[in-house]
Amino acid sequence: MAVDSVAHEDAVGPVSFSLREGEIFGIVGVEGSGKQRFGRLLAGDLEITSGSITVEGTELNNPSVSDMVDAGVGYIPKDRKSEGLLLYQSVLVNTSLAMIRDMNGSMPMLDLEAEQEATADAIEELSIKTPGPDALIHGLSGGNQQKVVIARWLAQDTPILVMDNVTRGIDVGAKEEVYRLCRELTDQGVSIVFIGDELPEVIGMSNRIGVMANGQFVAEPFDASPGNKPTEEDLIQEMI
Amino acid sequence: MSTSSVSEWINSQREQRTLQDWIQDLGPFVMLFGLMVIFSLTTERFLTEGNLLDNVAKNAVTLLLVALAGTFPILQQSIDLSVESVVLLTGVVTVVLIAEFGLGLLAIPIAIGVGMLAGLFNGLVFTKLKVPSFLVTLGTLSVMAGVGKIITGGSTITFRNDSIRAIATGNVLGIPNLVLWGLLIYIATIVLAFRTKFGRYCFALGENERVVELAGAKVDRYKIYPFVLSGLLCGVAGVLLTLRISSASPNIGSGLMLPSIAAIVMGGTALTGGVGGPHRTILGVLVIAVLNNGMNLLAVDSFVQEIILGLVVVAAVALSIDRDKIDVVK
Repeated sequence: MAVDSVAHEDAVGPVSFSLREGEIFGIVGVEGSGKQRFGRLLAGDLEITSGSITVEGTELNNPSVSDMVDAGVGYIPKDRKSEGLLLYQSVLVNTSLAMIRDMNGSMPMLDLEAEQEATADAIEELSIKTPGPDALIHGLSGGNQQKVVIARWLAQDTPILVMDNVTRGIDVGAKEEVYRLCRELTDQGVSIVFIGDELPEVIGMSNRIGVMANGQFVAEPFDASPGNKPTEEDLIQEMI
Repeated sequence: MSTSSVSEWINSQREQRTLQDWIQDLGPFVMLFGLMVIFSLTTERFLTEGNLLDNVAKNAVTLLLVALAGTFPILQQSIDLSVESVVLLTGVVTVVLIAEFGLGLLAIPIAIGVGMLAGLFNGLVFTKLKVPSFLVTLGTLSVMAGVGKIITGGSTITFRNDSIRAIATGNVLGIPNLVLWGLLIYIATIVLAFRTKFGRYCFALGENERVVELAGAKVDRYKIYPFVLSGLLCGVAGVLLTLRISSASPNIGSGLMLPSIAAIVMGGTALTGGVGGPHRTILGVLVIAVLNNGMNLLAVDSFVQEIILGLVVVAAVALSIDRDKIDVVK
């Protein structure tokens, strides 16, 4: 994914960067730095008033969320309870919420078997602790809820994920599982934009880290490959 | 509180919840059954095939279609108040097309198409101009009633065509066609709600539109469909209603909207959206139909009937609402 000097009015940008295949690109910044809005912009959820995003050779001008999903970008919002999950629907309905878009082509019918299969796979592969695929999301722990949000995009093999504070409000064990999952995904060629408030986490996870302030990257991204990690102080200096 | 009393308290809460779930699931059934028992004991005619099929079931069909129409917008947390005017408009169009234009059977798909266009208009104003559905359909409730009444010229219009009429008045194996149409459409709406993307999005939008949008759905489109479907079903109701009586008066369909909403909510579809479904709407419809029929058989004063109907609706809703899924009641 290549982002060419995109902006949202005066609040974000112009920002340019390119996401390499199979990398985790971390984004940090203080509250109000625009990192969260930049995530929304990548998801098609915030109007792009200038510039464009190119995904796998296709240039998109002011795409909608639907356009970005078509292009292969899945967004995992910061607040899973208000934006990520249908709390009173089942694990199955939440897992298949993105894949039903293209189910049976343009035919109106659902493919219940495919949904059940995808949900069973997700429960097993992401070790989601739930009484079953028909249990309400409401009753799951935060970590397991978040795994369902991630599973929604994996169920349709989404190649680019934009994660906003993906480990927010989940316990230590579930965090470790999410970290491991992210690494497994990148090994398979999935690229991740990893927006985070926890610096140690972003430093640990990312291959490169961009620091945002006033809606823009303040410098060239830090190289954060293993053995070459920036310290928290390095990042904080740029952030403020 | 000691540990044991806490766990006791949790257990008692759990028991209360299950009792509440039980009431909420079976409430409308119990009410329907209770009413039928009461009317069977107090009148001789209630429990006869003639009464149940010709009066209760036939009269329930129009309300059923209109209530099914209204269910889908409510499921997605909108509302369609214009239903009864669509019934009026499409009914009038049916009669005019048969009587004045001699279109015969072709009148039926055209009238239903008019209903769908009315629904499409509601949906487009609602989504594209971002006018709340309550207000859009409150407006079109009035507009379409006016258009329909103008077409009638203010008096009842009629047609004569027995073969077309038979679509609504005939029988198959002793069961009135009208009832069969109602059942067929009832089953079709259940399939729509639980086996199609449209139905899935309806429930999902009713619970949380942002989640659906961020999952990449074309939200506007799926917010318009329920209104088009509503127009279609009201069109069918308008056609069947006018075929049945070979005429359309300037006030056909009037007084259907409020009972239909009562039936929907009684069936367990909350006005806050996301829960319930068309499969349960039929229960509310039958409660109202049985109550109307029984009170007529008992020769209850019509003003008193209004009072009783209102009280039963409130009681049924109080029993059937799923409070676990509703945080705030307004």
